[in-house]
Amino acid sequence: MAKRIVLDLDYCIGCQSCAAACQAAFREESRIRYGEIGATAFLPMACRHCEEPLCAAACPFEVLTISGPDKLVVQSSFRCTGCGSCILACPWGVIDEQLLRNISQKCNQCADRETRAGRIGPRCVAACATGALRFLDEAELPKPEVARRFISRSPFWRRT
Amino acid sequence: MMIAPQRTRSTCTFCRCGCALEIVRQGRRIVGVEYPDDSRPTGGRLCPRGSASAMLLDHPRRLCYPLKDGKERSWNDFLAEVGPIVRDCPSNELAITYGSQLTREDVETVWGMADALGADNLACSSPESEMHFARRLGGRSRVQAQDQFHVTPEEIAKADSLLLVGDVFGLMPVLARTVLDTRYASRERRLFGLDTVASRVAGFSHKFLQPRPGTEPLLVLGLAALCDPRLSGFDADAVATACGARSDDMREVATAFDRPKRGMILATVTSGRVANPQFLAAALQLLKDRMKGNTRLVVLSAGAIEPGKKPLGEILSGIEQGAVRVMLDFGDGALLEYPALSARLEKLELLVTTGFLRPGSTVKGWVLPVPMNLEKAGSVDTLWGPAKLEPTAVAASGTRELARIVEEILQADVQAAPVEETVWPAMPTRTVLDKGRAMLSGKSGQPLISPDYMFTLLAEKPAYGFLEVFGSSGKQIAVAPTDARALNLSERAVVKLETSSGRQATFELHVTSHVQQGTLLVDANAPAVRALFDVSIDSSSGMVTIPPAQAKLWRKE
Repeated sequence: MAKRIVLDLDYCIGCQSCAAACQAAFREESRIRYGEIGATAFLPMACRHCEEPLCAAACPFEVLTISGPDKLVVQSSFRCTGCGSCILACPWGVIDEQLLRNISQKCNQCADRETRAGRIGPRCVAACATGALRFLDEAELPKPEVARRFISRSPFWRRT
Repeated sequence: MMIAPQRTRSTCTFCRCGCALEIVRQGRRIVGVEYPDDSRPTGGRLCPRGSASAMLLDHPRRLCYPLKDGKERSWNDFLAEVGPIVRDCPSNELAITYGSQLTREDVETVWGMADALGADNLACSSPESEMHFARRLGGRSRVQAQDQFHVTPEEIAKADSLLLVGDVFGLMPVLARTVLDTRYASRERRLFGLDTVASRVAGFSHKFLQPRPGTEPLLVLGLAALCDPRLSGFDADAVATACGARSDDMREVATAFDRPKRGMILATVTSGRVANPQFLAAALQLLKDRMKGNTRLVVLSAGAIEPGKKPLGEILSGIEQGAVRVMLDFGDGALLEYPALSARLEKLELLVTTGFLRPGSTVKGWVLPVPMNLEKAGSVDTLWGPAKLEPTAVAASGTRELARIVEEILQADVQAAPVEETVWPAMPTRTVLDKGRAMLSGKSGQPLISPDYMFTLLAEKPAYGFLEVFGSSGKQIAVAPTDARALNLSERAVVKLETSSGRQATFELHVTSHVQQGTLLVDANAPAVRALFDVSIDSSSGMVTIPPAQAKLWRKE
């Protein structure tokens, strides 16, 4: 499986460095959404680049397609009419309307950010102030580690 | 032909975390910011302030001309008008101030100018409480107090118990990684928080002490008494009741810092959050001294520059009395940030300030464009020690280096003068204890909710709202669920707020359990929100602080 953005809830402090990095790079609204659960859990959410993307299925003009070896769901801004079908279809709520150009916008995992050695991953992951966001593939994903300490035991979410 | 992008590494100076960053250019065009993952100790991680750097370098509001009373003028006009006034001004009627974000070399230049003019009215102009909070600790010189200003990630990692005082994760998000790694290293490690607002630290703390606004120093003294029973008059149950905290939680904190544990207190103060930073600083020093374990106290101030020859409050009083007529402020416009503070400058005959962004409102006097730290070479002090700055971009058109401005004003070469150490006296222990006991017995201290005004208005400054680069902030006001119910207000209701000094603002309501009953929380990154807060000058120390405000709230019809 190709690399995806993974969040370790134990480290996210809700500083929105990820949103700032995205906004600074693209000079428009952030493509990573940000939410809070209760008072203590913070959830930056970027496009998950689903294997069977509902946004692509909903798009009447085939603006959204699966592309490349990383199977990213990419958007052709030139063909987008701003109908909003993808925004409504996305089960994660991470596609937004680009208000200035009246089209939808979504994360492309900073496909433009690369060196001679190849792609170096999204800016939100590089900027993440606590390292809560990571860019991993399935093999690298230490499943028992992620959110291992995140256990609800009281009105506050406690990390044991 | 496509020009290859060039990267230049420097240090972010928007707080003292000293994060490395790279500015990417194509020719003279700023393309963006990059995150050098081989940099130590922050590993290329950047908070929103760092990510904003590239946007600030070519910001549409970037100041490129001198402004006089809000209108663009030339450098020649400035020098022709201001030069003779400054050169002929009697030294006792001249004040020179400098900001907390300058390089060491810039500060030395300003000290050199003060020497050349014989001006004794020399002060750091940052009104931020955290600056003064840092200076008031210990009453030791900077050389003696190195351990209070600098720390290494390894030292934090060794701590068995950590106490974070204030919004530490809000001020320095990048430091949070080191703190959380330490906290998760073993089950025996303990992390505690102490703040009047359940800040981002709260969710990660084993225990979070949330005293009522204004009672933080008393709670700290209560902890000190638990660590050292010889400290009489601070019964834990009585202190807990007075502060609105739980005595069991206080005991758990005191036990965690007992011998032979290694402890660390990381403390900061936000403007508009703490009523008396000086008292809190002294109480924390006392707590650190009374802890039986091996505990260090580290101050995470936003800037740590020498305070100058006189307290800023003394200079402001001089302006009020007409003794100071001319003021040169070489900073980042911090004096103009809080309207209550800039109003005190209106009696000046001449005010000259510097800045890299066009001020949000018209300034009566001169505003000079200067390069940002990212456009300079020099050295700065960071939490981890001294750091070098490299120029990452050509200085913006129209700006002039501080040294050149000084030389042109004086029409002479100015020798940079060594910055003298100023040892500020700490609050005597007896005074700290007397103030604490008086607060406990209810003889002093302001009431939380006065009869006329319902709420205590507290401020926060989240990094994401920095200079409003990522959009306007300060639209929301946080209120406790109980208060929202009592006022019959629901989430997103549009409310109007009026402070005890008559200032008004409109907000959208955010109901959250982060804040306590009787308190309101606003984002003070927005100038309109900063205008709600008054400035207080301590008569004995000359210290300038921005305390919480008193305010009432109602639904906007």
